[in-house]
Amino acid sequence: MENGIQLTEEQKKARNQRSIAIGLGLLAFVVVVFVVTVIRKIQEQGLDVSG
Amino acid sequence: MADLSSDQALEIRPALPADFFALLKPRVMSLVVFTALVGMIAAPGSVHPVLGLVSIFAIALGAGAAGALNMWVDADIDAKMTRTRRRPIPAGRLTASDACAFGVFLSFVAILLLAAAANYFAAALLAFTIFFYVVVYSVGLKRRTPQNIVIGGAAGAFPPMIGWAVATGGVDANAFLLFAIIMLWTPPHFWALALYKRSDYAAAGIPMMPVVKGAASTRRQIFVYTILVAMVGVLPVFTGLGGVLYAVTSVLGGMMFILLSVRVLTSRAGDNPGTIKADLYTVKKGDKAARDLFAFSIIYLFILFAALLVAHGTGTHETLPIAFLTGLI
Repeated sequence: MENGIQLTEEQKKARNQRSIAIGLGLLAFVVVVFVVTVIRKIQEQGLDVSG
Repeated sequence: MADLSSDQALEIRPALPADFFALLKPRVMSLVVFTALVGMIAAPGSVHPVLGLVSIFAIALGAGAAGALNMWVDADIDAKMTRTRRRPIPAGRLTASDACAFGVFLSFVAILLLAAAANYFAAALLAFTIFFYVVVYSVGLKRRTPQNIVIGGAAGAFPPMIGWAVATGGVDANAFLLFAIIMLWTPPHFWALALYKRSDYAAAGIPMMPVVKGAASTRRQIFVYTILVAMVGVLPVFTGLGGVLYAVTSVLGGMMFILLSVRVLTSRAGDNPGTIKADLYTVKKGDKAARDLFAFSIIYLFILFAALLVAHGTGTHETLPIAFLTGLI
């Protein structure tokens, strides 16, 4: 909905950069939690994953 | 909000990801990462390399979160100090509530991540560290007592203990020794800085030791704490934590640290508050000894922990015959 606030080009660019950073941060978090979970599960099953 | 009129050099622009990153105090975070890593490597337990890496990342994130919350609490005094007035909040690029929300969110992420990657004890220790730094130090001590950084130093001393807990699931006397080294190192480190940034702290109304007790008293206390940290710094040799490399490093480093503190003791550092500059290492005439001690204190802590990291990380660590305290811990 139009709220009457017009962002400048600089503000739009900064908002895009923040959005990309949040997206990448969330993606990294999901990947890290997935990897940790997999390793913990394998460890629980007593398999050697230490390389 | 900061008064920007007095500093025309400040640039006001929309907040970028880099501004949020600056909230994390990357320089402090790097020291936290390093000492936590040493604690984890030097501990007797073993950690899966990936889980260890994630744990260190979580500890770094927790330290960054504490930094962001500290900037939220200290926004008003940061605006008054030349050293800190360019931080994102006083510079007007972020609001204090942005920093608060960011810090709280990251705190939860860091604690949960450490609980998942390591154990609940390490996660609880990280949570307590964030609480101690933000509530006990930043809110409770910093503006009230000249002993602020003596007690508050514990916040910076916890990371190697957290690293130790990641590896072992608990802490022992050696973990407390690493904690004690950083805690005792903190007063000479920050008071040396406060000696040549005295008017900066005075302007912000922070009761740092030189502001409250004067420069001469601070120089004497710096000397006493330096003697203490140099002595405690050698103790890991006797508990078996430090080997040959650590023994040489801690003895030579400690002697140099004491020598520089004697130079501060016999100097007139901090006597004349005078004009100050924003640069961390720029000093006016008479304050050079304090600046040198401040700079060396960073090197001292780094080489001490680096010696442990090298010996334990490369598997070359050997307990010396003089480690008579080994059986007691």
